Amino acid sequence: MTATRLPTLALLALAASAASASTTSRSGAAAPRENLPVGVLDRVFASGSDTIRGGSPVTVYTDRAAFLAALAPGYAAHDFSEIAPGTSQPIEYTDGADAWHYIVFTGVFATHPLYDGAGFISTDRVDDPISVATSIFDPPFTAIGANVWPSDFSLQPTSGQVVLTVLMQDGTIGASETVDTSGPDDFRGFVANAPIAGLFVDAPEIDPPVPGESQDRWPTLDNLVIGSAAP
Amino acid sequence: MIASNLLRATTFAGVLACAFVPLAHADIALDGTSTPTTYARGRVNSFLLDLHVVSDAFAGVDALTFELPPGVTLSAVRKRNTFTFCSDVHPLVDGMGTGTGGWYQLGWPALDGCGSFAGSPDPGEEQIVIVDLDVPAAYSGDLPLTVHALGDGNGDPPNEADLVLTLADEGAPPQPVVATASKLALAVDGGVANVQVLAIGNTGAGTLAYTITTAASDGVTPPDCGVPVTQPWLAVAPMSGTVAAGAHDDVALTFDTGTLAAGDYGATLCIASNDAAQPMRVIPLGLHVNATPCAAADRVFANGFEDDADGRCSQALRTFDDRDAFLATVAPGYETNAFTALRTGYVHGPLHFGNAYPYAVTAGPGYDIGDFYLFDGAGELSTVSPGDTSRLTITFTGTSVTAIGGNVWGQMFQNPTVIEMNMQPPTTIRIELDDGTVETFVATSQQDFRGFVSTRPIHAITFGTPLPGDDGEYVWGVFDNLVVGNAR
Repeated sequence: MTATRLPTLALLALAASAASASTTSRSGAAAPRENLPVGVLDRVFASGSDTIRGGSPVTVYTDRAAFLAALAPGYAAHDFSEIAPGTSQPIEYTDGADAWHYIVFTGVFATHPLYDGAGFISTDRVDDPISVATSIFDPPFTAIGANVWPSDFSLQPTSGQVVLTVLMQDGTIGASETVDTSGPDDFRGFVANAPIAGLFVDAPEIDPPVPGESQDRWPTLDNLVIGSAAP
Repeated sequence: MIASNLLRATTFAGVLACAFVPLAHADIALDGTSTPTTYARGRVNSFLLDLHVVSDAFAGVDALTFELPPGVTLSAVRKRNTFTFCSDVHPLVDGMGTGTGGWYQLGWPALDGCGSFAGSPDPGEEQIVIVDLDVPAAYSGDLPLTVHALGDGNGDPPNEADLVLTLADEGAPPQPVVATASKLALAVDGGVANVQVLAIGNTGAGTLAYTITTAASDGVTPPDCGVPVTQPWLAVAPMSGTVAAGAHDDVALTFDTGTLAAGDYGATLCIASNDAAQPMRVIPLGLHVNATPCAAADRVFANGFEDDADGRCSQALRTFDDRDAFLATVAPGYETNAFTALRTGYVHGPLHFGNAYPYAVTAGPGYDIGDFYLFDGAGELSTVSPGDTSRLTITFTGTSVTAIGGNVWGQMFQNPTVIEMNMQPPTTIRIELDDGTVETFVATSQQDFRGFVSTRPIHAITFGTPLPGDDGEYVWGVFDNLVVGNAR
């Protein structure tokens, strides 16, 4: 177990740095898209008008059906219906057959737990991301997607943004996506042609603050899908 | 002879063997006591556990958890001191609001490391935790509180230890207990007679017998109930009575301002009873005669009389220092909040709570990093820092509220000069309602309670601890177990 943890920690440390860089600060807006490497993102919208991944490392989907159609059979899906509200330690998922193994937690440098709603994932501390990660010793996956939105102190959906960062196992950032959310139905999926190390979801505070409203936002996630790109 | 020598040799060999067999160093052992050792039904009870977590192997505890019988839940867990924990500065607090929970090592991806709590306290070092248990009204009999210490596995077995503390059921008090408001203030126009009903309840057993007299009050000198003084503007009826267990009497207090000039008047209600714990309840009465008549031009009120009995041109505020007495005056449907299992850390307000009676809580002063700091497992709201300007304000944002109460006290979450945390030193609490009413008292524990029942809507209430303690340190003012609703 120790042998598998160290490389994972190293990778996730990179991811944490990358995630911070992509979201600037909690009081600021997300990094402008033009800062990302050219050609990194190939967006596929609900219309399905762009169905060819070509040479792009990561394709972004905003529609769950289109995303699932791009996956090979045998993907893992979690609706977190077994999750009880409140704090929790990292949640480890494996299929027992060495096909999938990943962990949902707050991050390497985050010393605080998850804080979940009834059937969905969020964080205890407002500055912590939701991290979904695997290690290089685990079976690789090349596709990951989920419903993501910001929640308030009481776990209620609220206005704002979420920032998703996909870290590849080679240490590069595969994608960074800022979502102006409208609620728990917002979906983002990522399909790559190389192994993905993890997905990090952050929710920056709203800026400027709205009078009478807390500017704090917590990242929130549900209906996670992890799999491989269709051949 | 041979047998004797053989016996000696065998004994010597045994002693020798014992001398060279490594002694077992048990990973963990647990002992301790609880204060108090009894619980009350239908409320959040707080217990101070003096634990002795000892590891012969100088190891630590990966989890220190509590298990409760069905129906009873954990409301909060707090450490009184550091337990000289090692690497795991922020152990995970989990299970609040459920029957099993406590501190776990956050360790990722699994429990490991040296543990969150040291098993080798320094000589004389206390290992005290405070556990709040929410006991439903329907629970009765002994309440076993199981404390479970999970060692870190660095010593010999046993690697786990349990301590069962049996908390006894207080049940109903065996003698009469008088339950009533601790203060009543009335603001009214001159030239009217205003009747306020004061409920005198019996929350104990047997029959409560009471007699009421009145004494003088100048607001400064402690009232002397041994010297009855009749105020011409105050009539009390009945002056005596009996109350069965669980029942209450309505005593009519008639304030006649017919001959009074505008200004403030005071009196003291002295309730002598067979309540052994409080044979004399002293209740300050405040009367303010408005200088400006009520805005209503037509003094015939909705009740068809001109006595202001419907209170349209008056405001009466009852203050309570006893939760039972307060709840007896609140209409069914009220909401409670123990602020259990909240998110933690620095948080910006306002924070919204309540369903039927929604309210927003703000904290001041605010900082860029946040307005609140919410401690893991604390189960209460608290400002970022204490001080003379620190305050928590509840603003009601929906349905009209005329009754609000809760436990209010001073909590020293941390002190730069001592190792102890979560102490509850005597603290001056200042509570201010939006109508300008100020209630000040010295709280000595989290059991201290204040409740307010008004004849007019309460829009906001602010809590603060504006004075430093004897050591010059300010204490956080906190509230918990809030009750929000309307008067009966």
